[in-house]
Amino acid sequence: MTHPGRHLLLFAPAALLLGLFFVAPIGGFLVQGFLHRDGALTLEHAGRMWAAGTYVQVMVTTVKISLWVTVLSVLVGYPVAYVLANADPRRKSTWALFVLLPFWSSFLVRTFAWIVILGRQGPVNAALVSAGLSDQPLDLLYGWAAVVIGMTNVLVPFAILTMVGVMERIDRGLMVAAGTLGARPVQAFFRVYLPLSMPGVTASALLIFITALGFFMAPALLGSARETMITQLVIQQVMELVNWPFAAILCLLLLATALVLFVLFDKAVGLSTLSGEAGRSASAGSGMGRRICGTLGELAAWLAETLRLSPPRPGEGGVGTKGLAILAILFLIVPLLLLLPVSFSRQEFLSWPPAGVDLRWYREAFSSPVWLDAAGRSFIVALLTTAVCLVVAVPAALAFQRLQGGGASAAFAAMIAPLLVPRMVIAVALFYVYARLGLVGTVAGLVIGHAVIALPYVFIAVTAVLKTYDRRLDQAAASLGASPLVTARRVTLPLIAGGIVSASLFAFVISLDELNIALFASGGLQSTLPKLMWDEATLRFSPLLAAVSTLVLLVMSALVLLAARLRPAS
Amino acid sequence: MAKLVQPTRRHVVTGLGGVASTLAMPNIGRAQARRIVVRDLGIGTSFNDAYGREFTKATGIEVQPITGANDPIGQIKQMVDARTYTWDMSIVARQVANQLAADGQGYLESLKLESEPSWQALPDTFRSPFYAGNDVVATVLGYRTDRVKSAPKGWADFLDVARFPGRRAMRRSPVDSVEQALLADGAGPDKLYPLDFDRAFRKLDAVKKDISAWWTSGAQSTQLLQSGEVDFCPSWNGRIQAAINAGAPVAIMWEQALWQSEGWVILKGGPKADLCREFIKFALAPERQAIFARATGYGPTVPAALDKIEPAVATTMPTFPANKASAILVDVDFWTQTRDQATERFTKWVVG
Repeated sequence: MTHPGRHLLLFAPAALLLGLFFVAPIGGFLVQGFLHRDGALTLEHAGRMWAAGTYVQVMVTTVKISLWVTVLSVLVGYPVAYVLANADPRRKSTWALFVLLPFWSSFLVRTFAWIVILGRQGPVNAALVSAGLSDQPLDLLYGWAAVVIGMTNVLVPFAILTMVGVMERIDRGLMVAAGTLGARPVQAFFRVYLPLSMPGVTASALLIFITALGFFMAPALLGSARETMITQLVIQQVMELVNWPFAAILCLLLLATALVLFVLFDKAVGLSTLSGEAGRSASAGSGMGRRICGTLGELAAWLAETLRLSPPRPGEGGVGTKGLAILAILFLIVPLLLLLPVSFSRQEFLSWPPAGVDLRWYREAFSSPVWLDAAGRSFIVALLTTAVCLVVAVPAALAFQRLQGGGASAAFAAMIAPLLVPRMVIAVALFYVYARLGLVGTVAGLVIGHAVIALPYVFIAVTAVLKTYDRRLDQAAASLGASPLVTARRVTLPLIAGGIVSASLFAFVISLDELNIALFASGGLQSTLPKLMWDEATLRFSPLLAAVSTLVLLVMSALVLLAARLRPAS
Repeated sequence: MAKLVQPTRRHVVTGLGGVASTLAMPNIGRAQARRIVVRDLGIGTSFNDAYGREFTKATGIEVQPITGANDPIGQIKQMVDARTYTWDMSIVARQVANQLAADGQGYLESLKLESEPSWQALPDTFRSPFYAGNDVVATVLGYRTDRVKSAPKGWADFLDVARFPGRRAMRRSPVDSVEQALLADGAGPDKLYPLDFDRAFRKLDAVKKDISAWWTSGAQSTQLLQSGEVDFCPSWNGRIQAAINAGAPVAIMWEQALWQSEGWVILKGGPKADLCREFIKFALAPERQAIFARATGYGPTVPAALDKIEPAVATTMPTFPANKASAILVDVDFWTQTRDQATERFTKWVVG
């Protein structure tokens, strides 16, 4: 080990960004939860929150929904990530495209699409009734299932991209070796592959759980009042009631709950898989995780034997795995399949079935300088955000690998802290800092805000890949005389390039889809695409949303295909 | 409201300001002297058609509209507190205006338009020293004419599940919902305020199982009716009119319409207050309000404006004589005082 001081220096960009644009404004906001009108310390807001009971109840609901969404997202995402990671390069780009398509269509628009899909006049009910499975339309919307489906649909791509980076680094030879040693394929999968992929699973589970805790649009649009989630109440306090102290207390309730669950999660599954102690890179995480995998392996092998199922094979995966992956991808692109015909609709509202074929909504999008302007700005901001995130997160992730024990946990918690605070609260608190710095209504203001929000995703994605990276390669380089900088540039970075690509995608897509900063920290002065879509969705709900979202999809796909073609074969 | 930024942090932040502002691309537009930024409701191009474009033509003062759907109390307080006038003026609900004017030192500029004829033409109900009413929003019941056999004639009919079977939605907020419950329970329209919350929640308890959806945004209520997801849905009249205009078989119950107004306010201490006054004077002209009302469905506050709207459209306005006969003005100051507790109670009730 070299000087620990130098490693800490790698945290400097992250400390600067988060200190100035996250800790300071959010701290100022949260402190208000304990202040009286006259500035004296008080517990009155906390007392009121606790006594009401409702807020704790809503918090419990939030946790329940988030847990379900997490489990489902990982289960749905795993086979896709497996196939994606093990496909040969040519097929891989096709698979990747299908995973990415839903990822870069606006999550606002996808949530709205579910209203149409699950509605009483929607295609699902139409199919059920015409197939004679039901005499009248079912209440699929406005309930627990709709919320979980809508949220899972949005979050699965995050799960896939986090897991795939880890899976790509698993040596396929290990599965072959397990087979040679007599393991049935199912056993080999559960006892070798699954444990090796656990860092990806735990990372994505954590990422999704914490992201899900902060959701507010899906429960508001798809749920009944019973599915109210805590962030909806925070927003209500800020927007409708303008009660900052109480909003702060509710935020603290969310933060405290997240932290407690974070610790429990660490104990149960072992977050140490992420904190990467040297030499453990190929091991399977905590003892408990490994035991669970082992038991699952026996169970699955027995099941497969009894049912005579074809198990996943080393390589691209068996028919069963591919079938699951294709089903998962269908689930992901259903909202997009709906949007395409609706975008050509002549009618005034987003609804099913679409009436007529017309280009009016595309014409409206292209003839509007406001939309074109916002599209340009959104892409520029997304590019800049990606750059900022990489500059900040990659060194931090490298330094994080060298930390151990309490230091590692603390650093990890600090880096993912922005995940735990509702984005709207970050945006509102940032406004005050921006006002002082003259950043309100500037591109720089948008970029900084987006970078704070995207940073945890980028950090987790890079860390998950580094976790599977064999540090002995660095040591070998060092012993051959390479300086740390040369080692990073010539050895480490090229080997983790795949992880950095998916991390960049996170940053780009999160920025492209981020609404709150434009809405609250910029006073609406610099319109971004999501801001315009939000206005459109809350004011008009027209097929223009579908048209714009389809256009963004086309542009993104073209860009990625172009990039894939331009990339030199390696 | 306490300020968000703690004084101890100020030094750090201002110290770095120099560095950061060189990084920030200056917004060139803000430097223009004869230009105002107006936060508007963003209903199509209504704002520019009725006010923005014509005002620029008449005065040379440029107008940039900023769209926002929610009540911007927090945002306006932020801007005035930080003395960062991203917006110069705004259209807001009356309740928001009263709350902003009354809070602390006040967040709104005095309009001082008393000597203007256009101000004098504005009924008292729709103006205050800080507020010039632009339009009337009526919370009314929208219902599907293809499934509702006889027209409902009051909020009692809306919540009478036996006589009026069908699927229902309500707004996920105590505002309007509590009034509707009380009126449905037989409370006298003239003795509605102060609202009897216990009685309202008893009535709501009785019908809770019959409410299929609780909407939170106006577009959602339009969608619920337009798609036929529900048969009855109270909402703002412009939202229901949007579904009707799109060809949905929907009608409006004007009985016991709950009135609120929206109007112009100027942010306190802003550098463009005088230009904003010019704008408000201009916007109160009947022919201007008529264009806005036609585009949005919300009724003009200036009576003469109704004459400038063709009869077929005028009959869809809340301020049309036949529609306003049994209208009830919502007591916004009552809500300002009670909204916190009422919302908590409502949330507890609705999630339980």
